[in-house]
Amino acid sequence: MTGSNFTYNTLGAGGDNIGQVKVISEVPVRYYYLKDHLGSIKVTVDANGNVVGYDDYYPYGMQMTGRSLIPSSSEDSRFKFTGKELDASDGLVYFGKRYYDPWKAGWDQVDPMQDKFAGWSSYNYTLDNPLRFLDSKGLNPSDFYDEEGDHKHVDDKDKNAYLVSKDKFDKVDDKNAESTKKDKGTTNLGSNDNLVALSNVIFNEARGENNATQIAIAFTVINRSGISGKSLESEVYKPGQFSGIQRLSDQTLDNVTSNNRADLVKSYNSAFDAIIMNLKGINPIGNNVTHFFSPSSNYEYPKWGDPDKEVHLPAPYNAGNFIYWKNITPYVRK
Amino acid sequence: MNADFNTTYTYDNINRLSTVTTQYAGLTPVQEAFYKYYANGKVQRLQLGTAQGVDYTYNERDWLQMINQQNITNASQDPGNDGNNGIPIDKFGEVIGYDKSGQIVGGPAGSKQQFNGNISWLIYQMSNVPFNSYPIVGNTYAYDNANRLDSANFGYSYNNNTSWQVTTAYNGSYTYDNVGNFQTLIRYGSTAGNEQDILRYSYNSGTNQVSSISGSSSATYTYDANGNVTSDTHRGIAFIIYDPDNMPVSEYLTNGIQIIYENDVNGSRVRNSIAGATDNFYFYGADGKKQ
Repeated sequence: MTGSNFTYNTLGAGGDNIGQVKVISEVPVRYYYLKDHLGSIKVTVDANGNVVGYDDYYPYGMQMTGRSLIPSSSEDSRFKFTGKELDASDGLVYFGKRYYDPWKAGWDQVDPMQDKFAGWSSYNYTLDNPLRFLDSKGLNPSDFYDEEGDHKHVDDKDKNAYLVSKDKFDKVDDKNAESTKKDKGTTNLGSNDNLVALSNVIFNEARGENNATQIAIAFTVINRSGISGKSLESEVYKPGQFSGIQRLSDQTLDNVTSNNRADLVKSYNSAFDAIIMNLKGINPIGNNVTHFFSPSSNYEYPKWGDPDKEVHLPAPYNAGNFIYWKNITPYVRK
Repeated sequence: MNADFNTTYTYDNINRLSTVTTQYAGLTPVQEAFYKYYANGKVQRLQLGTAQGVDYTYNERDWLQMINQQNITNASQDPGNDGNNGIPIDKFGEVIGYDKSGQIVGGPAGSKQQFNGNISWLIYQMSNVPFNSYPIVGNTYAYDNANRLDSANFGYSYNNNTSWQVTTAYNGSYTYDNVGNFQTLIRYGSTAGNEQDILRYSYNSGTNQVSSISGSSSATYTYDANGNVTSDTHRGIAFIIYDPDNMPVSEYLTNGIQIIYENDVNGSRVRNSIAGATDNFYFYGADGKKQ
């Protein structure tokens, strides 16, 4: 029965889910989500604006009995707290990289980026400040008002995600298209004393962006060190600010086998660390940066004012992968 | 891509998303979203089909201040005039308090100003979801010195914003250890005085892993070597098997249900199926190309 019914998610600015189109026996029926400041879906309406579902939440995301439609109607959104999907089977919420238990008010897996939040439990949710912070992927918290979503624009493609039934999935030609899904997010700059740590955060958050964007973001970190309440991206896209490093090869991490991929990510991470430290005027060696994951004696990291050039990663990750240094005009903090 | 469902995006002259239109199987296209922006680029209004108009107002720091308004039944005061403009009257509204305690008419009594971006209070209204017949509800929030949420105190507006009434219904209070793990968590239920959940947390020695929760209900947890929860008595999870990226691949519930997950190379899940019940595929495509 479910084979002939399916649901498409309608995506708006920032890839934010704004509604759904339910197709039942070939008839599409549209619904829209009304969200609070965190992106939590509070009310679902039909195409005429009539309420078909509603949920209210405790601060840590559990639905309030008596203020929520429990169980959900078939017309209601399956996305709930901060716009994330609540799995009816076990009551956990899927955030992308981790699963969250709103009853326990904690994660079921350690933070993949736990090293970046020294002094905090790797299982707690958004630094215990759930009204203010979002965790877009289950990786690290950011101020809601810096988040993508309702308040930013879609910049390009790949903003469409579907939830479809199996028969539809089998018809889809490009099953690998899911690998084009991008991660995006922003980070509060309130306490970025440790630029190395933050550069790793940036890499992970911006991994869907091209490297020019990544390094531009990295510059922004440097220049806005210690300034809170600003979105990285809003600063990065300031006119005249944009220049940086590009990876000329379009070989994606997806083409690398699983083990090598992890190494490659690590290598890129440390490469960015080194570059950022260098731009900061600090010799990266001996400053908690391993230069590269696999240090290579002939690796030359770019220096301030260097002309455009290719910068190669060490073997065995150099095949088809290098970053391209462009002479950079950094944004200078006013 | 998926030939049956197409999404078209249009952009304004400075490349901001303007409209989202979807079309199913060659039927008449439907405009799902229309965005309007302030001069600084913040979204001013999101019109969803012809179902709702969502209006955003920001404070002097460009932080979101209002989504629609607190009294959504008052169309004439809605920034978008929804209810008088051919779009149905708003079904949700929210006002956010940071450092201003008295700026918004009817701001809840008992809120403490927050100057660092913390949320001091929220007032909101969900259509047809009143509390004790009062449609406008809200919370005030208290924080400790580490900006951790101490308590949430639910209330409702009575006499249409001129008076704020507190109740212990839906309240929450929280205590933490020095790395942010919960020590206790209390959630009140739908009626005043009803402590629905009183949770006391215990941890595996030397870790931040919750070993058990006691109190109004109990739970015990086990973990694998990577720190992933492998069983959860409260959720009825018998065991979960994880892949090397610490994403679940197979989950067995104590009621006999098995859930299969498939994850792509980025660790995003692309399939979630329950044998004999549902089989969901998630497909992230490049269909929404800029037109």
